[in-house]
Amino acid sequence: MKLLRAITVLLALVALVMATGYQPVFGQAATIKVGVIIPLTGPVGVSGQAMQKGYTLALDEINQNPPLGRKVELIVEDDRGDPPTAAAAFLKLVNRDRIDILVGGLQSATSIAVGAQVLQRPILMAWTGAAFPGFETMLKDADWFFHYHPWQYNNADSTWRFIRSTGAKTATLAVEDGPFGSSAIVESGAFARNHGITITSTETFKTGSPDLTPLLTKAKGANADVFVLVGFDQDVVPVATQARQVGFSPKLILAAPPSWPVGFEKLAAGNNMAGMALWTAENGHPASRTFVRRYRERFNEEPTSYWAPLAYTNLITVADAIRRAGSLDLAALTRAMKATDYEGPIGMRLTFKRSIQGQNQGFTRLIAFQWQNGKQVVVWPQEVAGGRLVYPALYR
Amino acid sequence: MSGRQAVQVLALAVVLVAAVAFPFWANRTQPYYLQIAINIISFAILALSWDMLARTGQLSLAHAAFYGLGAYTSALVTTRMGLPIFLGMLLGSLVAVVVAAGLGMLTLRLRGIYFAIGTLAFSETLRVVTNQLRFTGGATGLVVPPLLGGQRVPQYLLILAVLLLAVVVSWMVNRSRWHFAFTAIRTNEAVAGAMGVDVVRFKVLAFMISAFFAGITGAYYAHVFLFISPIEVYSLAVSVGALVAPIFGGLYTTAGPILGAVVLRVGEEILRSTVQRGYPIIYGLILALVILYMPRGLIGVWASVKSGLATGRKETREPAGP
Amino acid sequence: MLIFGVLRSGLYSLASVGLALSVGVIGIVNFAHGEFLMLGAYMGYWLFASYGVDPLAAIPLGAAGIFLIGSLTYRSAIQRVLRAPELNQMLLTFGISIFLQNLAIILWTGDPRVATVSYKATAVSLGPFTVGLPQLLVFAVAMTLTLSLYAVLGRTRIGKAMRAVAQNRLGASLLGIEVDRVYLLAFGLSTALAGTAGLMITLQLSVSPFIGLLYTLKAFAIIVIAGLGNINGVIYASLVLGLSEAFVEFYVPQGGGWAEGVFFLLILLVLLVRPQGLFK
Repeated sequence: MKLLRAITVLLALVALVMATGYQPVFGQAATIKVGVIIPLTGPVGVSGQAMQKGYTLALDEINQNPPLGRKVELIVEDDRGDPPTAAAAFLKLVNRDRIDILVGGLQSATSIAVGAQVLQRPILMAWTGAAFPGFETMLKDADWFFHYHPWQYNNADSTWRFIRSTGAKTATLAVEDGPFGSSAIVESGAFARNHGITITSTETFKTGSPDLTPLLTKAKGANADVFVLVGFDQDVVPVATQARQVGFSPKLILAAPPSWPVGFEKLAAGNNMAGMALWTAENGHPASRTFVRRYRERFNEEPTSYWAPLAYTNLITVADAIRRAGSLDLAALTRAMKATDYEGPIGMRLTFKRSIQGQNQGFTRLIAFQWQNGKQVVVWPQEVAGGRLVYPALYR
Repeated sequence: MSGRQAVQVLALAVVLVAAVAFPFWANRTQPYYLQIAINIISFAILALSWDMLARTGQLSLAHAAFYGLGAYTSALVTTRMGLPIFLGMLLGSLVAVVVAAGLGMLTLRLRGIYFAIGTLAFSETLRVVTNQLRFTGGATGLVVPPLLGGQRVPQYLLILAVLLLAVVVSWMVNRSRWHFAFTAIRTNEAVAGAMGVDVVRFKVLAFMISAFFAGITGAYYAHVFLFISPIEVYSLAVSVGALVAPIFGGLYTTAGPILGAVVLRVGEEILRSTVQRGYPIIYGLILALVILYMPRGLIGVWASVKSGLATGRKETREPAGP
Repeated sequence: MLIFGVLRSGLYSLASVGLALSVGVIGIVNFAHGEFLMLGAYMGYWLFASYGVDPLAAIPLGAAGIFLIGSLTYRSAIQRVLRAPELNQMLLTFGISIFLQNLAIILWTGDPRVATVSYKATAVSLGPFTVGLPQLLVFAVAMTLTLSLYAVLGRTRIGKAMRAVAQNRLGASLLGIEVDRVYLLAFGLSTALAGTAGLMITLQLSVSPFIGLLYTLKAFAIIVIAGLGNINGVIYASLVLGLSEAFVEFYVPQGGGWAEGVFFLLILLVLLVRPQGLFK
């Protein structure tokens, strides 16, 4: 009977899975196992792979001076951007690989799936992902949860603070219609008001659209000081070129894609566009320059998004906490992590403080930069600025 | 009951007991397996329910629509109206069934690729609408309350029960007079109608059954992974996954979709751990190769091997179904 | 808005007419259509980045290249499922699309790349209106190619052979037409057209492995609106899509998000109300 045959195959496969998961015990006992859950494939696989490179650089450095005299071993799991896979990956790491610490994290959906599981099996979770405040709420009582990435409201706060610093009074919003964009709408209203900026109109668009001329024409009609674009790397090119084509030249075009397309620096039309980021490769901080150089030497390419240095920071600070804690006991690690005070490639000081609902929040600020003659010049805040903002900018 | 049948029933009973006892063991020793099992079973239900609709010749790309409707309905009534989760899940599947009845009636005249594209358009429209409306949480998504206290063991048992229900329904459909009706409609709708088969009734009913299971699985997903958004639950990937598994395993059978679902998910899990970066490319390759060389799926391969051994000659390759 | 809609439809029609050809002549709905577009776009990008070749100048080379890849795909895979159920064909081309997309990711990473053609942002005045130069060029190229296709189909021997095969396969073969060769050429041509559309994308925008799906879906919408297999209707259908999108994006508040729904809704309506398409 076919059903029976199916079941036989099923059992054989289960045996196969068990076999592949099996790891010989000898030789492993001495290492510190750090589990990493990141999307190596799937729609945001590019960022996940950047993270992996950041982790690799950190690991090399850490193992030259092994914490507690034991080498650190990274066990990387690909969550594929899929929450069920992420949840399974966590269980595998905790149960089969017996990790001591969990790092990683990028998207909100997968973070929530993992977070729900960690709540049932607490472990030190030094997490670089998710800006969605619902995730903060879920883990608000978790002492062992350390969140590196700014929350969406941090991003909004930085963005509107920057806009106010330019002297602008009005803004138009153009937002991609996915979760990235729509969370920006939610925060922007309140923050803009708080900083004294009026949002004259908000428009949505589909990311990857080839033709944004209607949107830009509408924005032109709204006649605001600043045009804010919340989209992805594929959207900045049409905005840059088509804005000029419809004769749209606000005092500033501010875009906030997680990364910029390769070759954008050569695009004349991209000149004077501003952006917000946790970090750019032009960052003048010595640790950042070292990081970029090492990255280039090791991987033969330029780091294009902030995920690589963020991952690096993630692992370095965890290793540092292990050293200070002197053990892998959760309470000791938690105490040591809370005492983190680190300034690395991101170029900003990292400490963990309370956030609105969470206990251990790391980065809370973005910096603003402007493309000037092919370079991402940091223009705000003053303490880290490497150049002056061109405002009003001319987009012709 | 013959001796052979008795053995089969006994074997089935053993498997059933094992399946029920499994979570209790796994939760204490290997929770990873428990999670994988939940993932596989959910996928198997989607595959089986898609297949049931395909038996009437309706190859739908809207499976994600019903999955999403179940998820969103349940999420919304449990968070906005405070209804208990079980009620939410039932309402979710009910909404899916009603919408399926409507869509089924509308698409009666569409065949083959027209039907597929039409259902795809429906599913995508639903996604865009959910994406735009503030009421459904928009593109940011919804946080959803956990089912059964977030405990994996009862969650597993629940989804196992749903799978068993789906298996029973599918098995009964294939064993009853419905089987002839479905097959007749699939082979040639006009002739079936002329023969006296109530084509409309069976096509719409198949749609409704299929949607019921998709809807309840969607609601289950929402309350187990605690977060839904339009690009996840209404995604084309859900619909495609739901149809790849039955094709791979063997269409129009009960075992085929389940087999296909298990092999695909387990294979993905193994590949994911061993071949890190390029693995989705293998998925595309497998898909193409299966269609080219194994059109009747795994069940078909098994049958060919068996009869090849019996007659000493390979069976000629035939496309799956008319 | 009228102008923008019209210009946009140029790109759409170039992207879709290949699919219409493949559906009409061969009867295959090629889910991987967008991926051939993406490959053409990458070809254009690399020619520009490595040798400074303008995408417009690269059209002959790019089209030929994609034609070869398309023909290879046809011979190795598509040919075998011609007589299989439609589901198998759909799945095969879908598998090919996954394969090609991930191949691109492996070879060139998922980062988008922009070819910084010097006139990318230039605008020209057409009377009272200002339009982008690249858009205008793309529109011109698209129209030229589409109309040439019509001419080829209408006047040349091979074109007439294709039309004959589209109408009646058996009859055509009885007349001595080598159906297989016609299929091969039609498929190659269909992918070459998609690849050319990809080159136009490189000219106007940026290229990444993920751009394929969007255009596959738009092409679907357009050929459904035109009527499956109706190649002549593609221009009109593209206009319908381009114009309605532009209008919704401009006049409807938050229109950009809804515009995406426009084409799906259009597909649905056309299929339910007039399945043979609006322009038969």
